[in-house]
Amino acid sequence: VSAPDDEITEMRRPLIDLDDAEALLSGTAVPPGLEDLAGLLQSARLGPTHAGDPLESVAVAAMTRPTVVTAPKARAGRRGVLVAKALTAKAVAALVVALLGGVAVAAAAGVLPAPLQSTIARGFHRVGVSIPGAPRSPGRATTATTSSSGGAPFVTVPATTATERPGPGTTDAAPLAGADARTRDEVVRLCRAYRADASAIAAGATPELLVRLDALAGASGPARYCATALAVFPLQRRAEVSPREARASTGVSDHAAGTAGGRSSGRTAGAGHATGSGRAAGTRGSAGSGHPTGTPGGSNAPASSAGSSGVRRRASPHRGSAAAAALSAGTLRAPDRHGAGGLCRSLPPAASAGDPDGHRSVARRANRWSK
Amino acid sequence: VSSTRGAPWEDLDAAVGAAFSGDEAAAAAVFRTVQPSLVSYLRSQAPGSAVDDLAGEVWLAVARGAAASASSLDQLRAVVFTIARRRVVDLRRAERRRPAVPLAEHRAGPAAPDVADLVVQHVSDGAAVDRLLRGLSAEQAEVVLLRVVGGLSAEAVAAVTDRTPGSVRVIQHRALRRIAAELRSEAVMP
Repeated sequence: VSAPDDEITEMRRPLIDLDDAEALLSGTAVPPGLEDLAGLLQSARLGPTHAGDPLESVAVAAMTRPTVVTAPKARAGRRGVLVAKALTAKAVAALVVALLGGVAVAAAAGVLPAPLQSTIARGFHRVGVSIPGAPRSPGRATTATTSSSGGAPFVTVPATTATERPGPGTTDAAPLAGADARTRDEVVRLCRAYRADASAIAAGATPELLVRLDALAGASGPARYCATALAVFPLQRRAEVSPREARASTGVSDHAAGTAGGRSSGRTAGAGHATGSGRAAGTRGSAGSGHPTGTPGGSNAPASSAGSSGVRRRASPHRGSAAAAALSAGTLRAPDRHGAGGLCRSLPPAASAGDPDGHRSVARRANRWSK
Repeated sequence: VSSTRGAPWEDLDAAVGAAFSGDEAAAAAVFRTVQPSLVSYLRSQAPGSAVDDLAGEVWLAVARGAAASASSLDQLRAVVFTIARRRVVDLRRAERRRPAVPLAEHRAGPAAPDVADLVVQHVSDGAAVDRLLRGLSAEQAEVVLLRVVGGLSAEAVAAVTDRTPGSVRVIQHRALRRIAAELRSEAVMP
């Protein structure tokens, strides 16, 4: 049995380990038996050439030029610019998202300034999102309906207004708070007509108006209903429109209304002027409001203008009449509610005779506002 | 391992730094040291192509700053042979896409080698390289070339060829065993 040639060759092959291979390739040592291999490797190693290579002058000139070093920096700069652009775009996008999110959260919380809040609320309102300050949509606003039970007022409050903060003195008229301007105007018009012609209504001359008011008022009765509506709705309207618009619509001058209202409440005026002539003249509410010292105001407190008889500064019967008309018309400004308690007694006798309780409730409610 | 024979700069590591600082003598010394091994490597890896053109492209890339961070001759060699290897790879891909076969030579068939060329080739350094790489695989020939002709370390070869140093040592070990076996067989059967 003869061994194959390969096995014979393998047996004759000198042993080369990794260290021997490394020494041969690096030229540091020649292992025994591998001299021919080391000689071949050494002959393959090339020494430096001498001058005369045509490429030498070109390569040397290219290496020694000062501009060649700036090439990689330019590439790195371009890459850096791209990265910086990407990061800048991301940072700007994140900032915009954060700002919009913050504004949206602030708008939802209702802590933005009023103009901005109303603007954003209108924008949200258009897409069906309700946030504080949103306008009342006519289609979704309250509608006056008759109450089947008869006792409660008749205005349904939409869900969008349920989160609104109720104003003071609106406890009795809370269901009325959501009425829109159109409904309020209609109710005020009916109530004014009812109050202006109370005697004829009592005699049954205008049964149609009475039927409508009865339908609206339910068990509370037209008189009480109108008293509450005329006290609450104008205040709501005042809170919604600007003072200039209110003056233009009502025709009541600012000064007149302000003086008619006085600076103190009727209760305080009455206490401070308990012995004054205002009580004797039947103008307890505002007769003494301009006289904290208890000085009798009888000189400027005629019976026809009792509402402003006690006003301290430039009191005028005309101003008192205007304020009384404003209160009667339900257009008294919010700051002028202080004197409403006294002014309510200056209403036409017919109206007062028709529903004295209603006017007292107006006075109580106005005094509650003044607190 | 670098020889400083005939170079005006004894310290070639310092010559590398001086060359990129504008010293022409240092640049010439570096070029004369690296150029022969570069040409030998290119001639072995890209036979039949314009080796001088490839070498010129490599030096142009070096001059453009590819080796600006090199502070020693070994680092410069690593950069030079990395560029050369990529040029060879690009050349092979281009030849694979557009194979060029000279019609005249195809018709005439393989020409008989000139005796004078055989003599010159036998006595030149290229003959030793060809003999060294005979019978080796492509990766073994590349590693041996870079180690012997390029003068790179095992770690530098690993970096140039995208291998681990251990893989390079295994490849070079197998290559030397095969070369030794070839030499032994030639000695037994001349």
